[in-house]
Amino acid sequence: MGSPLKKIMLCSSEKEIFSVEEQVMVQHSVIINNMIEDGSYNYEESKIPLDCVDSKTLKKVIDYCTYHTHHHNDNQEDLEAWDAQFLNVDSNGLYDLLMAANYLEIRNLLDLIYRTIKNMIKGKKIDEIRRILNIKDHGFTPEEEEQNRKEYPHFY
Amino acid sequence: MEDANELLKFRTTKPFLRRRKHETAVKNWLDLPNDLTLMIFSRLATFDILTGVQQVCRQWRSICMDPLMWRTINMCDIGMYNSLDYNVWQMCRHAIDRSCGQLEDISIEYFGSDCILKYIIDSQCKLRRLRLVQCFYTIFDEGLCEIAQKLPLLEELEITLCKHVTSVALEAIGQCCPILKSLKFNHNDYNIDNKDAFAIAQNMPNLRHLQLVNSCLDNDGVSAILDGCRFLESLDLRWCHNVNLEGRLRKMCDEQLKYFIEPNTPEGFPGYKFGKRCNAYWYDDLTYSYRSRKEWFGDHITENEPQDNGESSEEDEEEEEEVTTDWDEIYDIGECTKNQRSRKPLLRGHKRETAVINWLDLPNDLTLMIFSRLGTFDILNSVQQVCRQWRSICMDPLMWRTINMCDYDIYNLVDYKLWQMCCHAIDRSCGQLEDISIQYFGNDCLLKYIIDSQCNLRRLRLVQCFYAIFDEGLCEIAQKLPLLEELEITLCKHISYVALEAIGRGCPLLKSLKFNHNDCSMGNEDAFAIAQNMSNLRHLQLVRNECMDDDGVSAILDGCRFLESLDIRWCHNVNLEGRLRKMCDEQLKYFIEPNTPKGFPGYKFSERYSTLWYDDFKYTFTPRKERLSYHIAENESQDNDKSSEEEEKEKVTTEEVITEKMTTDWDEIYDIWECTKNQRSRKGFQRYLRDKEKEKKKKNKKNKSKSKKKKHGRKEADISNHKSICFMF
Repeated sequence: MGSPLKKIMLCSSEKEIFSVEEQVMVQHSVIINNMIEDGSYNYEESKIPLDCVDSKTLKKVIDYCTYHTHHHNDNQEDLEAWDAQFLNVDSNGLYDLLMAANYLEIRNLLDLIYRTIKNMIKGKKIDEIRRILNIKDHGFTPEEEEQNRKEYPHFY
Repeated sequence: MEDANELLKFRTTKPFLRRRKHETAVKNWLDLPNDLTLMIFSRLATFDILTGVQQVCRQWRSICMDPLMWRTINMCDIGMYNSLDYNVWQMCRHAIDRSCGQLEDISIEYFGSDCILKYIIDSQCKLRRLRLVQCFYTIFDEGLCEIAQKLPLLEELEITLCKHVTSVALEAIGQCCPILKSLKFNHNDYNIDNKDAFAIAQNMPNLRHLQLVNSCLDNDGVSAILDGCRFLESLDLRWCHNVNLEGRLRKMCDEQLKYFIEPNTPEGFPGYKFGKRCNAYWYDDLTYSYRSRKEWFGDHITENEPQDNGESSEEDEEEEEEVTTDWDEIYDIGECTKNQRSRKPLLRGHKRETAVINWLDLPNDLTLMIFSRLGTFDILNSVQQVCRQWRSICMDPLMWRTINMCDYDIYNLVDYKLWQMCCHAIDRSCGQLEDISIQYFGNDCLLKYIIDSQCNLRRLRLVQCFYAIFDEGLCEIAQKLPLLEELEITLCKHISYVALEAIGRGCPLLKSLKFNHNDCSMGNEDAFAIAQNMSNLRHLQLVRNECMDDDGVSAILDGCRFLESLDIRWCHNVNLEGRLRKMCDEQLKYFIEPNTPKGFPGYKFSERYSTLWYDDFKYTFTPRKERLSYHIAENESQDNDKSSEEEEKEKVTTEEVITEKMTTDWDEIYDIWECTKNQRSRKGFQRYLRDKEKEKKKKNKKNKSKSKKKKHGRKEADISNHKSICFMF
């Protein structure tokens, strides 16, 4: 394994290149960890292409990994506060982050996003959920919806 | 010479001691924790376990008796010559018997037959993976069609070299196994033309991986498969010599598939171990099948730059270009893509035209991960009704591995038939249920219902089911919970040491027990029952067990040798002193003392919680008059409950106000009930109370309270109705 200050290059979908400390990404991303471990990454030449992650999202992901690498000894409350601040984005941003985290297999971040979305849904009425997540075509026939309404009238 | 003398001196000084030290230094493999040993064994083939491992010693034998050991039965790769000496069919049957319905993955070579398929299904197992290899003339369409209906959870199927299996079986399987993701249907040359391909295309739309080695299909078949199986990621068509990939078809393959093996791939290419010519009579080829990949690739060493591999593992486009050049590399790519399977669809979904994101594009498995974190109440009442796609996700049995019916505000729930809701969720789980949490409405009948769903519970939580769960119910289900690892029984007033004993005997894997605030037993009975019957316990919580004293703690520490954490907060009879204190410090990693203050994390109910809830629930049971005479005084002083959970605090305080206010006017009580149900903010509630009090004064003057009661009669009936639903069972 390289020294902690070795840098690796990540390339976003806009072909913008981000240089990150190796240790930061290796610790969090299973995919990058695997790449580094099997020696398929060449420090002089390789760039890791992340075609489905745009620059804005990639920057956020790198922020997350960097912060959690350097602050993992902080107390739990501070970390949670930082996480909450970090995920203070609109639902589009959240979607992109979820995709990126899934692609790079960053387990902590995935879990954090799952939890956030769960809280967005929890205890909401059906119409509210549709609005929050911008679901326009729900695909139920009117009869089915009537049936649902009968079954659980309190949530409309 | 001098050196030698020195050495000799050393030796003669303490030779005896040295040797003994050396002896003790030898590790005893039997000391390995059983679960680790089990993990090692479960990687062995069934043949090796039955003929070797289990006969090594008594301890290993008992490990081999564990049903968990038999989730996977692998009767492949025995070697034909080896298996001739044994009655493999009997061996397999024996293994299935031992699995006690835990079987998930079974592989059979040579001796598979319709009869054995039937036997597998009769074991009540939930197969996820079935492999039938080289069962040349003994498996028929009829057998497969018959079992197909019983395999709703099948994800992977391999049928290789079974000469009598045709498209008929494929159709039945496609219709009955909706989550089938991987199909290998190799070398079963009974069909001519494209029948197999059409059966696959029409009935298996969810397929991700398909292997059709040495099959008769032609271009039409391939095209049908690509059209029918939209999620297909890998396709292996080696030795299908009727296929000519040209023009449009070639382009479709390149676009739709991540991993593709061409018809003209040479023999020995990884991924399929049998040779081209293999048939019922080829014994020689068996040896060939054992050649490992490395051996094979030994002949094909190429100059392969590690950098190339790295690039290819990330860039999917490069893969297709590199196919046919270098097998070693291709294999690596295959391995890489295998792990990155879920990624390509993401990539595509990402190309969105509009700026607004459609959350329905999220891959279903990610959505399922999010939903499975929600409580059952939310899923049933809102999530599943948001749209059709979400509804179908909520129908997946995997979604219902965890049923969480806890942490609701009880006032919110008066209108719902929780019991029905829970049964519905259990029905949907199709026996996949592993983890269930029940609050308020648990009762013996519900426990029975859970068990009847054929589930294999690992975690059971019963919280605040005050007077509806009895020892009898728990004793009855205890026998059916061989895999239970975690149990919580909190605030269930009728549960005593009798149930604990039954559970201890019935659940050998139990690792964590929470038995809080169930003040039914006397003396140290609970503690003794735990100490004597639950020797594998790692975590134990006994909050507010008022009757237990030092003897009980000492018995627990003696009986549960693996105990790591112990929480005996508010057990006021325990005085940890002298030897006992030392034992606790030595044996336990995490210990919560009896005099821990309220609000310390790890237990959410407050110390006084029980009495209040007791009253509340008594109220639902006791006749009205009895209730009316019941008063609780001076609750105000304890108003500032320091419970860590704010919600709990609020519940408790509102509850207190209610009990204070409970005087003669029943209408008012129902009004309050209604009010708290809808608006839980305390300020609004207090304002409401103030208003109510003013009204009451007026009312007293008019003396008309009786007439108003009639008006509310219907509401009253409704509420009592809901209650009876909650508690009658």
